[in-house]
Formats: sequence, C-alpha cells, structure tokens
Amino acid sequence: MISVRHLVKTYRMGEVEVSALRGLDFDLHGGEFVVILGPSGSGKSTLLNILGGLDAPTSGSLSWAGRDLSNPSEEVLTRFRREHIGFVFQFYNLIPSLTARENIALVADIATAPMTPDDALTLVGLSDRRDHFPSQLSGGEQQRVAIARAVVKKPEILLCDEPTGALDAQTGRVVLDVLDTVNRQLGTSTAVVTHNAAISRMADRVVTMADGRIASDTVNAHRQRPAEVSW
Amino acid sequence: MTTLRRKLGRDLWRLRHQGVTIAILVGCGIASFVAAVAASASLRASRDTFYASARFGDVFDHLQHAPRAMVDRLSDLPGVAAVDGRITDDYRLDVDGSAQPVAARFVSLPWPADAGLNQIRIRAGRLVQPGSADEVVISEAFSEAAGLAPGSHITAVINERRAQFRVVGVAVSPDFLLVTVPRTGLPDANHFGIVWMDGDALAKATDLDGAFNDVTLQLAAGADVEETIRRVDQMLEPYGGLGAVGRADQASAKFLEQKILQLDRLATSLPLIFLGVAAFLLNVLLSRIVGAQREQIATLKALGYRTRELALHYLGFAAVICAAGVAVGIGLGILAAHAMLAVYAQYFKFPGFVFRFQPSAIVGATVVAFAAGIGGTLFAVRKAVTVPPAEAMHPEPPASYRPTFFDRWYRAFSPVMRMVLRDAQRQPVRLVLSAGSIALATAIVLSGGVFTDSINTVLHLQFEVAHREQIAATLDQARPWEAVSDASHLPGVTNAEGERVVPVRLRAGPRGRTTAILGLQPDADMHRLLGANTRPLMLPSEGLSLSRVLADSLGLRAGDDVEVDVLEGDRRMVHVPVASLVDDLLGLSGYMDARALSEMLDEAPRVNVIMLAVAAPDIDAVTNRLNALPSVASVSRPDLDRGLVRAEVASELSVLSLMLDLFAGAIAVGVVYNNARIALETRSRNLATMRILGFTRGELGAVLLGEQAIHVVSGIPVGLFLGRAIGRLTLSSVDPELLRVPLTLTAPSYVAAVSVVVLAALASALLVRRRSDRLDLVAVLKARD
Repeated sequence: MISVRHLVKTYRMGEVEVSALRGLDFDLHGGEFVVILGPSGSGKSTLLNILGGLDAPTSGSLSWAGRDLSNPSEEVLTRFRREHIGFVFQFYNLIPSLTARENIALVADIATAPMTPDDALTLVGLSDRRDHFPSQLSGGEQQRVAIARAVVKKPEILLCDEPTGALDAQTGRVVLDVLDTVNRQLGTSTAVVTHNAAISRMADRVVTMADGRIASDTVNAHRQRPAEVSW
Repeated sequence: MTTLRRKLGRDLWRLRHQGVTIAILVGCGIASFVAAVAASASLRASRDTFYASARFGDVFDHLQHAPRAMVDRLSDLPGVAAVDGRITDDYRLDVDGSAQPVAARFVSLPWPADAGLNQIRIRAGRLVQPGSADEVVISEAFSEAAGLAPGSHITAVINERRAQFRVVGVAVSPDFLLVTVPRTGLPDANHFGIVWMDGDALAKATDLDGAFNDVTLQLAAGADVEETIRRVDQMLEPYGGLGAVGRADQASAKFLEQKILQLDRLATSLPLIFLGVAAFLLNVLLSRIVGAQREQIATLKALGYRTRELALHYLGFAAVICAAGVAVGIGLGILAAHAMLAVYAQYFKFPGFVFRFQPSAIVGATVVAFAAGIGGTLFAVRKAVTVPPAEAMHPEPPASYRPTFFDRWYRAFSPVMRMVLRDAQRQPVRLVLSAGSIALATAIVLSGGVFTDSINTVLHLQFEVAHREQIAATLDQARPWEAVSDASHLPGVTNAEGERVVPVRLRAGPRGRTTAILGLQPDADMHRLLGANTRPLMLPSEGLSLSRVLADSLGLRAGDDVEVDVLEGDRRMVHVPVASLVDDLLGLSGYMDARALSEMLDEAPRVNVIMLAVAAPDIDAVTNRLNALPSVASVSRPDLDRGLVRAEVASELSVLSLMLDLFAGAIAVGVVYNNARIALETRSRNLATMRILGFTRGELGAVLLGEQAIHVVSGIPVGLFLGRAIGRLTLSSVDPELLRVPLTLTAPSYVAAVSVVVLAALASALLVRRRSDRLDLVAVLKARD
C-alpha cells in the first residue's frame, strides 16, 4: 500500500548535522498492524513522519498505491494527508480551545466521506465526554479523542507515534484496545512507533530499527489481544 | 471550516485584553479619520450651500468712494454676472451697560434685502424697515458675545455725530462668517461686530449719498478672476480702490478655508500613526500566537489542513481585531464629527449645518485599517504556516544566544540585568518599533503643548513686548499730531504716542501688495518693532521697514528700492529704500519714522492712532473719556484683548489636549501592555524556574518589565524631538501672512508629555506584573515547553 526505498534523511539540529535514516526499505500492506520498535534516535519517528507526508526525504523514494510521492508539492502532500492518513501523537496534540467533539469535527469538516464525530467518539468509548475540553480530560481520554480524531475520516493508514508513551500501563492498554478495534473493524493499516517491546505482541508484524536502518522484520504467528499485553 | 472558526473565537476570547488594546488603537485611527473627514466635508458643504444660496461674491474691493454709476460700468466688464455696491465703515459703539471698548463695521443693506450679493440671513427678529434710519440688524456672533438681542439699543459715533439705533434683528452673512478685528487681524466677536442698516440711511449718515465705498462682484462660470481683479483695480484706482481680492483672499473666507485645511491635515496624520502602531502590535501579538501554537499548526497540517486555510485562520485574528476597531471607530468618529460640528457651529455661524458623511471615506479607512492589520500580521503568519509539520512538531529549539560585542559591558550588571539587556538586544526590530511607538505617543502629547506654548509666546510678544500701551484710540480720520499731546494731558495718562496709518500699494517689479505703512515715533516705547530673535528693534530714521513675510512675498531685501503707491490724499507714487526687515507677528505692514512718512507725503505730521500709558486704577476713567470724544472711532484695550484670546484659545485647546493625551495614553498602553503580556507568556517557564530558585517577585518583575522600561526610556527622548518637529509642521499650517507663530515649548509641556506616557506605561506594566505574581509554578513547569 505504501512503500519506501533507499530512504535517507539528514537533519540540521542547530549547528549539528544528524543522519536520522540511512537508506532503508519498508512496506506497509493493506489492513496490517505493524509495530516499529527501536531505541531513541533510531529513526522510528522520522520514518513515520515521512510515511505520513509530514516530512520529505533527503533522498530515496516514497510511493503510495503505485503513485510516486518522493518529491511532492506541498499541495499534493496536504491532499495525501487529508484524504488517506490518520495521525496519533505521543502528546495527543489536541487543540486546547476546542472540545473533544470539536477536535474531531475539525477533521470531519475537511474530510470527503467521514463518519460523524459522535460515531468516532462512540468507537473510542468517550460519548459521555464529548463536550469536555482537553484540559478536563485525563491523558488516556485525550489520547482516545486523538485516535477518534485520526479515524473519523476513515483513513486507509493510521500512523501512531508513541501513542502510549505518556500513559500508565492500564490506560495504555485501553488506548491500544481502541487501536486494535479500529484496525480490525475498519481494516485500517496501522503503524505504531514505540520503544515499548511489549506492544509488539499485538502486531501482525514487528520491525526493529537501529541507527537509521531496519535491523529486523518479523511476522508474529499469533496476534495477541491488547488485554493480554502487559508491561 | 466551522470548527476552525470556533477555535478562532475561543482563542480571541482568551486574548481579549490584548486584542482590545489593539482594537482601541485601530478605533482611534478610524475615529479620528472619520471625524476629521466628516467634519471637514460637512463644513465645506455647509459653507458652499450658504455661499451659493446667499450669493457670496467672487471679487471684493474697498475704495474711498465712487458714484453709483460705476456699478453699472463694473457690470459691463467681461465675465461679470452681478455687481453690488454698498457702504461699509467702522465706527465706535456704545453698548448699553458695556464698559468694554467695542467697534462695529456698518454695512448698508440693499433693498429688497435679497436683491444683492452677500445676502444676510435673519436668525432672530426681523429685517430693518426700508428707509428706517434708526433700526439695525447685528451679526449673530456679536449679538451673543455682547449680549445684544432684538430690542437692545446701541449708540454709534458717525462723523462726529452720536446716533442711537435699535437692534431689530440678528443675522449672518457669507462675507462676515468670521469677523476679524481690523487692528489685530484676529477674530474677536467680543470687541468687533457687524451692523447692517438701511442703505439710504447709512449713505446719509456717512455723507456718501449716491455713492459706494465697497463693491462685490459675482463672476459668470469660467470667468478669469485674475483678469477681472486687474480690470477692477484699473477702474477703481481713481476712486481710491484699495486693490481687489478674489474669494480666496477675502478675510472671512480665507480664515474659514484655513480651519478646514487644518482639519484635512488632522485627517491624514493622526490615523496613520495609530494604524502604524496597531499594525506593529498585531505583528507582535500574532508572532506570539503562532509561536505558542506552533504545535497546533503542525497538528492541523498533519490532519490535512492546507497552508492557505491556516494562513486565513491566523489572519482572522488580525481581521477580527481590525473589524472591531473599525466598527467602534466609525461609530465614535460619527459622534465625534457631530460634536466637532457643534463646536464649529458656535464659531462659524452658518445659517444651516449640513452633515456630510462620505461612505467612500469609511470604505477607504476600512481598507487602510485592514491593510495595516493584515500587513503587520502577514510576516508572522507566513513564517508560522510554512514550517514543515514534522519540524514544527518538535518544540522550538532554544533561542540561540551568542556572546556579542556588548557583553563586555554587561559584566558590570547583575545576572537579572544581563537577562533584560540580552533580551532587548536580541530583538532589535521589536526594540526599534516599540521605542518608535512610544516616541510617537510622546510626540503626540508634546505637539499639543506646542500650540499652547506658542500661542502664549505670541500673546506675550504681541501684548507685552511689541504693544505695551494700556489703551489705543483709533481716530475717525488722520488728525494733526497735536492730538497726541492733547491726549497726554488727559488725567491718568502718563505717556502718549502717536501712529500714522497710510494705506498703500507696494510694488517691486511685477509683484505688488496692498497694505498700510505705519508711521511711528523712532523712540516709541509703547509700540516697539521686533527684530530677529524677537528682540525690540530700533526704527531707522530714514527708509521703509517691512514685515519680513511681506518683503519675502515681494522679493525685497534690505537696501532694495520699493515703489509706494499711496492710496489716499493725492495718491502720489514714490520710491523708498527698504531700510530693515521686521519680525512682527500679525499681518503684513510697512513701518516708517513718522517724521519721514510725513515728509514723504508732503503733509504736516498727522496721527490716526494714539497709544496711551495709563496707571491701572485710571484705565476705566480714561476709556470713558475717550469714548465720549467724537473724533475717536474706536478704543481698544490690549489687556482685555489678550485675556479674551487666551480664554478662547484655552477652551479650544483644552479639548484638543485632552484628546491628544488620551490618544497617546492608548498607544503607550497598547505597546507596553502587549509587549509585557507576551514577555510574560514566552518567559513563564524561565520566570517560574527563577521563582523556584529563590528569586523574589520584585526581581522577577524586573526581568519581565525591564525590557519594556528600555523601550520606554529609549523612545521618550526621540519622541520629544519628534514632537517638536510635528509642532513645527502643525504651526506651518497657519498662514504666515496672517500670523507668525514662533515655535515655543516650555518645561511643563515636556514634563506633561513624559508623564502621560510614563504613567500609561506604568499602569499597564503593573497590570501585567500582577499576573506574573499569580504564576502557577507547578503548572508552568509540568507543561511541556
């Protein structure tokens, strides 16, 4: 569905040049649930950002459904994100001045065939919190709102960057359960970046990254339910 | 997009205090623009309506006297549509119950009253009965100032005969909308008015039966004014014509036009300042908003929002603030325009005021306001929305501080001071713009002080340095110089000096000016001439001294020869050298030693005005004695004149000063409050850390407000210079041929300008300081940067 080849990304951080990705190949297939593992600085988030059209590769190619997106215009990237990608961030990134429902409506407003914000809230089990502002929600609730916001447009691909990174284990499991439900019910291809190896047991496939390259790529024989996962 | 709009609404509500301070500046700009434009347009419309309906003339001339047949000859001039010959002359009045010296210009009425040009409009009472010799109509401003109404009586001394008149009506006319006193050239309804009376009766009283001494011409459309003036001058020269003038130079019309031009100037300068400062503040505010919402912007982009949609969203902040300012500004502007017109109605006495409110001006002002707001915001928005989302998702890297040239000096300061200095130094553009805005605020207040101080200087120079007499008596005609010594013998009089006034036309090559030569005693102590630096000047015993402005307009310098056409007596023409230039303040005059003047005219010394030094307790008694003399046409008392001018100027300026103070306060509050709020938000983490490290609230206040203090302190001195410059520019709008105003600024004005700005800045700084005292340390530190 989406694939990258010979992907290289270098950043300038102030006065230092950092190589985040050093020529990697990766594919995300329709409907699969992939967990990308790796230590800090291994390039997981950079890969995710490039997959989601948030960042452009320094070199290498990116293609989606057979279309080349290696050197896309700003407009093409925006349309790609708007129509096909859902994002979930470690720190939720909800708009503080909008309620839970409004944060979701923000995306529904610009999507072509979205579900209703209320359906999305039901999907993540937060119908009763619809009129709460982010500051009135717990971390787990905020992340579930963020997931609802990501899936309301019914995206083909859901990209999650450390979705449980800021949450305790119990809340984290609730969030993972929502991601699992979305993947199974809507068939959304899901890539979850994490440094929490325990999560990998709920994936179809586990990719490990180290130093800007893919160190291993294994398929799980048995995909566990989030409730069975513990850390 | 509705959800994004909701976000805009909530964010704006959160920023309402800052938004309001900026909207106020936009509002001030729009209000001052709308008010000035509407008032100016309304004045013009009211004036033009009145001019047209009352058939205000196009060319005016005053002469000694000419037979009425000349009116028909003037009518035959090409391009002349109508001619009205009349009699006008100035006489001293005795007003029931008034001890003040009062004079009036008597003007003959045509019959029927609406037959001629410069028609009067009755405001109270009625017109005089045709042929009635004891009924008069008086001008409205005079009626109000002198407390005269239909039924009152006035006594005038005409040709040495006392005549009593009954006031039957109060009126206005287009040629005397603003009545200037002949001796000072300034409007003063308290001491000088217009009295209209039956034409035949006035002709009889002044021995001008079958003649006229004042003429107004109305021209057909497209007629050549200059050519007509030339021909009128030619035709009336034998009759003592003083030189015709067009409408632009007619005294009342000229004054009125000056006032309107001042309004026009106000309409452009003030709004520009406000909108400029508002644009700057919007930039500061929006930079802060987008800085704080960096991650939100990245998130929105990650969610699929387009750069354009986000740019519009953030420009919406500027648009809403501008729209609020414009809406309030237009409302206030219309109210202010009505208020201004109410003030002008007291002053200008149009029979009807037309309110003209041009929607096009509002559209223009709105466009300018939005352009300023959006322009000020665009840079900040562009910077924010073009950052790639992945980059924006990371917190902004810590601001890069590097050692600079200035650091060696900072060593002397405490770490807190070093923080303040480095922060100020790191944002030089903001420093310049903030200090610049403070400078403008200071300048606005100071420019108000320029008016007050300079007018006081004029009054001081005119009434304490140049004119030191207690009483000036203008005689009905030139009389032998012995009258001066007669006057000096009046009880209470300690000194008397004479002044001869001769109407002349001065010519230098192709240029000519109609004016008067004043013959003074060379050792005069009461009417002294001013030279450069406003020091009293010795009158040369030979030759002609000229007002510097008059000499400039004729292209003359000291030593040049000037042709003098005498406009009375034998109307001789002589050549006289220009002896010196005089820096007098009012009008255009020539000055000569009285003895040299009488030699030039080949006449025995004569006098028109007698100036008297009188001990204070005797002033009223001497005034009454003079009023009783038939040969005295009018009596003036400079002390009363000065008091009245001062009171009138003070009342007009106090409103203006208050407005300027409020405007300047709005700017200072807008700048300091917004900058300090933003400093608080962007540094809350640093400030909280410092509090935890043990710094006191006071020390934190220094960090927070130190930078604002630097802006204010560096802006004020610039503002003082700028205020002086604006003052000079404003004074230059006063026609120098009417009045030369030396630029003056006194210490209290400087203190006032600095105080207004410093107080406004302090008040807003304290508001922000209170906020910083309430900083929630734990919450600030727990939040992700």
